[in-house]
Amino acid sequence: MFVSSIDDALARKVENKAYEQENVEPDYVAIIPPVVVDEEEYEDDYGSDISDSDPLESVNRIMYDFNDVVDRYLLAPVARGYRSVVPEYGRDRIGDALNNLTSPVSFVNNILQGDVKGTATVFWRFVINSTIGIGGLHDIATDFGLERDDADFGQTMGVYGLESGPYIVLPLLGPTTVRDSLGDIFDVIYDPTASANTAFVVTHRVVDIVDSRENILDFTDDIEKNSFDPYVSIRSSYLQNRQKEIDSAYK
Amino acid sequence: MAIIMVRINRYLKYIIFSVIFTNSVLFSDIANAANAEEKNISGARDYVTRVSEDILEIVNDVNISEQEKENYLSKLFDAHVDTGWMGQFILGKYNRTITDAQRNEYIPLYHEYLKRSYIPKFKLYSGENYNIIRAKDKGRDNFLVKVAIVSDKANSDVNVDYRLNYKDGKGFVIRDIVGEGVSLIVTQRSDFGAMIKKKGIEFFIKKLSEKVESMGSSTITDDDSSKKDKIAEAAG
Repeated sequence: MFVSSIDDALARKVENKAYEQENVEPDYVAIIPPVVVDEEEYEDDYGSDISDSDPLESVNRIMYDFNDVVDRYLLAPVARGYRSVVPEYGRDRIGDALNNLTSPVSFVNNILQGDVKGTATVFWRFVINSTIGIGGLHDIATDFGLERDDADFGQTMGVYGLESGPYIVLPLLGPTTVRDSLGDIFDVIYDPTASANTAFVVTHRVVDIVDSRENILDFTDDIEKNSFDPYVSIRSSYLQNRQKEIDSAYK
Repeated sequence: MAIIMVRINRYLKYIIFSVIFTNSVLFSDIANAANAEEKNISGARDYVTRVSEDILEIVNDVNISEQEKENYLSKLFDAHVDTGWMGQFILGKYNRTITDAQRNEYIPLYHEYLKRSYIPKFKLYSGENYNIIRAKDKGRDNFLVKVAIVSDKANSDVNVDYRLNYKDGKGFVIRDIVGEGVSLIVTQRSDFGAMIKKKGIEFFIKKLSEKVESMGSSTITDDDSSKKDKIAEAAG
């Protein structure tokens, strides 16, 4: 169906070239019929242009370019090295352990959101994974049906109706919104398990960053390869996904 | 933010499920008529099941080469992904100002662009299962099918939604994939729109054409594939 119309299009191009030589106006028949795309059909699901709202774009792009250089020459190579040196099993264990460490924050935010089921789920996930799952290295709780569903304070504020504020790109931390970045600060200050041991905190942060970067290598490689404007693709993906997380937290 | 991108990254692997496999394009209408599902919720579920099974059959087949797999998947893509509609949705408001000539040039290019972006991803597939959770009738012949991709590792499921449209006389076609809330066509609309806004449609079409060329062909001829196999054999 479609391939044959591509061939027609090519054939017509050849024909039209011949016409051009004879100074005859080519007769462009619309092979691809114009479609009236009724966007209202999709408004319920796609909403307004939330993926394009970016009043701080000029500043954000500068920050994005800076982050991109740091990433290209430092973070991404380290992440690739991590991927090639540590086998997938090992990376999964580290990933599970890191996720487990976010449980206390998620617990607090589930309570704040009034999510009784979520609160219980996070609690039991933490208990099971920390004990049977050997210090969080194995995410056994998921096998028991306790799905992971993180809650952070930015999400909590969203549930309470706080507008997200403009999209901003922070140095090194990357895309966020004003609300979500304030939320992250809150989560760091009020982390129930905040440790005084500097070495642990630093190591944890570093491993967390490398692990996160490795996780999204395929995604970012795809954007690099296929996107015309990676800044815009990342912004759009971030805002859409964030919107979905808020919507699902509402339920 | 990293958590969000992790989930999107895992969804990217499964976007291959959007590449539909039936018979060759020439016979696709006949094949579709024979297998055509009904225009309702269970028809939509059956369609996604049929399509997914066909894809998995190709991807899991150990007896055919990677290049052959890409060729089959390419034919599926041609038959079932409604790039004519998607390409125009993605233009957004520029769809009203584009000329017929430009559209005739743009849509086939978009078709190739999407195909070459996503068919090679089947190499990332590693044995995951899927569950169809729900199908919804969105009205105006549009349907939404929610799928959860279950990974072997004990991570949470990746949620992928398929937006289908039912064309009378043909059956279902795919118009969008939404992974963890991120819609393919909305993201591309932002991406393409940013460039069109700055540089205009003509420039954009030129860039699209260059990009498609740089992506390389999604299919190669039999001669090439047998040469590759011979070289591979010789290399041991």
